Amino acid sequence: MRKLILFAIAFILVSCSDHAVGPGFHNEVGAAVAAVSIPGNDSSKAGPTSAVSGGTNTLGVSGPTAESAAFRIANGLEGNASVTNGNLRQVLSNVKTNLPKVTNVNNAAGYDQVQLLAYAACADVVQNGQASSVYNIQMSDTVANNQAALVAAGVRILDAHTGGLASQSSASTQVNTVLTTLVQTESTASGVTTKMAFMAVCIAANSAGSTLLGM
Amino acid sequence: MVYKSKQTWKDLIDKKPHVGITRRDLLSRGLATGFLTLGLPRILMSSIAEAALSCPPVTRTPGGIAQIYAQGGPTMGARFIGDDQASLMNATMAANYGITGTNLLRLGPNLVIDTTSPFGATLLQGPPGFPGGAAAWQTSVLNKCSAGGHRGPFNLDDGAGANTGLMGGASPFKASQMGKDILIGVNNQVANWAKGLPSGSISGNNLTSAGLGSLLTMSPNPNGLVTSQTMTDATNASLDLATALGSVLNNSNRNGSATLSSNAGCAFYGNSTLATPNFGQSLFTPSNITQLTTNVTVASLTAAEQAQLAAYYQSAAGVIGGVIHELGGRDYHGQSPQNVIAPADIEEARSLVMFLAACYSAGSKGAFLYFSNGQAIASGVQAVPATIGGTAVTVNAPVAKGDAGGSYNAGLIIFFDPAGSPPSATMTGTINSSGNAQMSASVGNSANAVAGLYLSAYKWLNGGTIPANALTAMNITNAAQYTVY
Repeated sequence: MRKLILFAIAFILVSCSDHAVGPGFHNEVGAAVAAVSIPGNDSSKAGPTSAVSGGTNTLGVSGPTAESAAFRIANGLEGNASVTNGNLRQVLSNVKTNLPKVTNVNNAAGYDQVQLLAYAACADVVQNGQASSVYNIQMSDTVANNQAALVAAGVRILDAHTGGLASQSSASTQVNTVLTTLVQTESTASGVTTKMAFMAVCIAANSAGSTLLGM
Repeated sequence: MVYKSKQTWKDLIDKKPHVGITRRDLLSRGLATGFLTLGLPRILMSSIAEAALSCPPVTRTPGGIAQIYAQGGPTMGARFIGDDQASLMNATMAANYGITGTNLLRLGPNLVIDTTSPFGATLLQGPPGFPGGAAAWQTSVLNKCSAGGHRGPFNLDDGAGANTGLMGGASPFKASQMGKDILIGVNNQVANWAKGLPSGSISGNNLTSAGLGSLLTMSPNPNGLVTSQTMTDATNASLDLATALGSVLNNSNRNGSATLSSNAGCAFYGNSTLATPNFGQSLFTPSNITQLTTNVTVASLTAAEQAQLAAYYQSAAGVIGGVIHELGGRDYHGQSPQNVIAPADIEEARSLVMFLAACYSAGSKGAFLYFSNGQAIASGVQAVPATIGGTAVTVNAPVAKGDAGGSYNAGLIIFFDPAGSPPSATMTGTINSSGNAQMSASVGNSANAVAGLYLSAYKWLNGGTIPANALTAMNITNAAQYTVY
């Protein structure tokens, strides 16, 4: 009788235990099945879906508005261009009424003006000699010979916009690749000087850093 | 119910866990992996942004829209009047308006001028060099116009009305390639809904082709700094950089990221055009525009008229939104009819001539708005010598004697249709036998009148539909109450 009871208990334990049953395959009975998505639960729905304190905000990014765009660019250039001096000041005065007025990217207009600010700020850096003194660009040398310095300048500008992510994150290789491609493109283009190549790098980095990253 | 199946490695015995791999296989897979590791990111980086970015085509909504703000209040009754005023015309009304009242000519619905007034004579003369001369100008252009307006709410003269928002704007309610308006000499306050609309502004003294060109040219001059291709390359790279860093910032899972890339990226691409040397000035130099030189002897125009003609043309062609022009010194009562009043009236009429010539040359509809703060009441006319477009003439100038916006005032609009079917617009407000205006109760005030006339302009240029974003900006839900057609 005791043996019978022990056998019964052992049978129940073996039958009901949840131990691994060996490698399985999809669609096999008893094996794990592939995850399925919940309808409507995709990344486009990220963000609060109902009203929150201060109003609804279903966006995960924001664009620069008004003069803040110019300040972002000046910060990206570590103060080597200033909203109170030079081309940046002049262009800001000209276009400030046309800059985006809301951070909501669905409703904002005027991003083109932000790039014109970047252009003006980069021109200041060139015309004031900081492209050489700060970013180590040798203006009298070829674009190809300045490739490393030009790429480094772009990384440095993006680092200033992103707190070092351009050089210290998992994206650093890709950032280098993009900037290298840009410099090589300018290097082989007809009539493009080192000054113009720096402008391209500077505008690209500031356009991305001030606006396209959405922060 | 959960089914359990006990399996062991023996169950897999018929499925070999590994296939054999040779040295050659190992090398080839290594080569492929190496290429993908180094090459794929670059391929993707150069293509992802472009593939994801689908920029809309350049938008050019044809249709000219312009406004004159005659600051100070001139003799508004000596511009053009409605059909009802013409039918009621008498000596008293004519004297108050500063016209003869006996030389009226109806150019179109609600568009009646005194042919001997500085304004009327200038309008009839047309631009220099128009094929067929003044007669053809009248049949081909002036007779394809109609007018409307709100009479009564613009009753605050001079400083009392100067900053009551009697100027508006067209962008972004009228889509254009550049997406902005041109403001000329705008010193006083614009309507609340027009504050901050995209625009470039110059002073009235800087009204030249070069001055306007500077508004649509990169600053500093792009020569030696960038080219159109450089700007395009920079934008390509900026999008690639955003894609690269976006992976760190988890942008693919942040709402609005794609919209930001698309909107900003496409906006950036548009700047490439600006890097073309002298792009702005070429837009506003009428001698460079064949459609204008065909219909106007451009060289006979003043520098300011050339600039206006080109600006109006670019509005009509859809390159820019609208042109808002404030003209000061219109508080001219008590001053010389020959030396001050007639030249001022001629200047305003010449602006209208330039606008109509531009719309005609572009083959586009047009809407010209004409506001002032108050008006100057007159005591008849005085025959004075004047020069219109280089031609010496004698005109009957208003003898403006004092401010009387409370008696008569108007915000006016002229519609032009190259097809000859301008809208039948209305003139609101009633007119008594002295020519005085009583505002329509449905209009209520000058702010509603300005908004309504601008909505009428948008509606005309937009195929009969008022753009929803304009109604939103003006916070108007009952547009029909304020529009004139």
